[in-house]
Amino acid sequence: MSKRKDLREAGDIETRCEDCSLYSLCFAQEISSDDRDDLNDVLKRQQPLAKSEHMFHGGQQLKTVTVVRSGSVKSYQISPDGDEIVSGFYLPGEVIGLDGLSAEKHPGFAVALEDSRTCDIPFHDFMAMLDKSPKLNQIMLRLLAEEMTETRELLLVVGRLDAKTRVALFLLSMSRRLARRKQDPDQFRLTMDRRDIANYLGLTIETVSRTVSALQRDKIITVRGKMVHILDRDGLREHAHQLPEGDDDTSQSTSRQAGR
Amino acid sequence: MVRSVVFMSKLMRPSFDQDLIDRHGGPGPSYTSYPTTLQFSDDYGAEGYKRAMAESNSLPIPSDLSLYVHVPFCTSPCFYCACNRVVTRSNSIGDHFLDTLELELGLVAPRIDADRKVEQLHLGGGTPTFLSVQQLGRLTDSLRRHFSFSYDAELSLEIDPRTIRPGGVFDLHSMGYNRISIGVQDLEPDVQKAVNRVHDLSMVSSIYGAGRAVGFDSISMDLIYGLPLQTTAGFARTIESVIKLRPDRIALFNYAHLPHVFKAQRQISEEQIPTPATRLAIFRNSLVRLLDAGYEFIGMDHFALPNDSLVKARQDGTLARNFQGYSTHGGLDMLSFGPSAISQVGDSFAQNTRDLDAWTISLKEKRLPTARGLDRNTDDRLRAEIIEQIMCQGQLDHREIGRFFELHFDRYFETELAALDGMASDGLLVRNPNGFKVTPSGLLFLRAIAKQFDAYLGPAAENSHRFSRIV
Repeated sequence: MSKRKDLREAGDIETRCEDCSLYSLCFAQEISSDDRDDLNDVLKRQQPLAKSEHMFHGGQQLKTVTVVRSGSVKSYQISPDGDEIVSGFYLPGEVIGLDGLSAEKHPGFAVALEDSRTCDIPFHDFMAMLDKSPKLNQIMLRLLAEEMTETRELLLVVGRLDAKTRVALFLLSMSRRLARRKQDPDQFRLTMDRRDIANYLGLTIETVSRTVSALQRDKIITVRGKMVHILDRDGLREHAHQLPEGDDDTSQSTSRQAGR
Repeated sequence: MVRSVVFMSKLMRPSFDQDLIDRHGGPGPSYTSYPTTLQFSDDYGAEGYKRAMAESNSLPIPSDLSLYVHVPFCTSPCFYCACNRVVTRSNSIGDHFLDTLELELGLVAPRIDADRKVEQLHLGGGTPTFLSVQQLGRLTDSLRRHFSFSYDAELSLEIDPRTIRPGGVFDLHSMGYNRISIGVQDLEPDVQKAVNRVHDLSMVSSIYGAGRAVGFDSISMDLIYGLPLQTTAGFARTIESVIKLRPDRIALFNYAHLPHVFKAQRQISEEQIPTPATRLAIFRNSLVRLLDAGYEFIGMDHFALPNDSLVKARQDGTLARNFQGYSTHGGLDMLSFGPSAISQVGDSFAQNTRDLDAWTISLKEKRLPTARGLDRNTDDRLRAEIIEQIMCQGQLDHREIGRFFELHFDRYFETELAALDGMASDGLLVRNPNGFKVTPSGLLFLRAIAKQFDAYLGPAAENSHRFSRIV
């Protein structure tokens, strides 16, 4: 155990999850302290990724499961024509690599959208921990379910919905994910390029900007630089053809927190 | 100061108080940018500008564009000039300049996403009308080829009445220009001779008449006070002539005599410059006269007729400040071309090399001619917002700023707010629960109030001699 500790990079002062600034939004705080000790032993806190730096390439062997500590990461695939297809975005506290568990290979690419930091859990250690900890299984199942929800929504979005609905759903999804990790759901930075948003939603960049502008004109959101402020959540939900406030994930996430 | 006629005023009128001017009229920047150009660094370079342009495309709603072209030539030197220019009578130099400018457009335009529309274009100098009407046509066509213009974009340029005929003004209108600014400065013959810029009133009024006849949306005139040999009586005649023409906007600039910085000014003999008392009297008389004649005070040195878009912008709170002064349109990225031109893209300032030859060589080698610049940090951005609100709206909402920048305003600006106490007790501003509002007595001191929030210019800043007096 102490030998492993020595292997961690010098200069990393946060030697344990409990000391990490992200602790409160990381799944690590939900597992038992014994499990966390195991995690602390195997975890590699990585050197910061620079903006546009890749974490891994498509087809590469799955060596680690990765938690985003700070910044944000984009995942994408390459189409047969060689075009980039954006498949998702990962925010602090979210886990990258779960989609590679079955094939033990990364199905796509992952690149940092801004200067970011990550924690890597070696794949085999991760599997060993899953064997031991029902709680960790539960958490991972939930994370997978969340990702599946996002993916299903995206399928629906790109298949049939108009631009305003797509953009509204996208903003609500970002907001929901931030709320889940106890971040401000009404005011957040869109760290991705508008090209990435356009690509992800299957729209042109002009349409993304026109649609965001229209939502701003309708006083549903305000946008300044990359900061988005949701002024009228019910209005946004209406555009997304969702039910008004009251039955949403924000409240679920708070009740989950409260119940713990 | 009894006014014979009372006009319905839309905006607050500044009041003039000698004692306040003595105390608060010291030197200060005009805040066409914050931080000011003094903070620009040589380390910034073309890479900084490229990064800023790429970043500006990535926003959910990329800013629309304002273009500026610096035409650096003049046929003869005006001695008061503080601009970057080359004095020449060469006919071919304009064509060479346009060749190079097209290279610059070709390097910059592809870096800007095509869906971003040009909302403003301004040609300054130097003397834009140094270029012939044909050359100006070529320039305008090039700009339209490289960028897409909004259908209601504001296209403006500065006009030297000595360098264009009334017929040329018609041509400018048909090229799409919808506002012009005529450099009048002073109409007294001896003053004109002393500054080497001689044109009589008829030249100005024939240009103005052509502009009115063809239907420009707005015609502006620039005047300068503090020039050699100026007297209160003489400048009053100039003001009367200008008021009679009734341009939509009048800019009344205060001449800053800084011969150690601006070589051209060494031609002006110091003893001919009016005394501070005369200068103040000229300013006071002009101010009173312009207000009486129905002009509204926008801020600093700008006046406009009540139906002008600047007045509306001042009322709506949409007035903005950029490198050309007050503007009706904020939130645009400014792409600037030509030697010494300054671009602002997002939170980045990029200035081209001042030297015409260096600018030309750089572009012939297909390199952006960026010489220096600056990336604003969060503190710069915060202070820039505050300074713009003071300069453009004459008020500040502490709570709104605090909320937006997520900070406790009163704590963050403890020192600055303490410095405002003296101004508040002098009646330049009044505090309210949300912040403060500049009073009529304070309107002439917007720069001095704004300066309290300038992190780079403390009260004892050593570079204060580089700025013109506030009043």
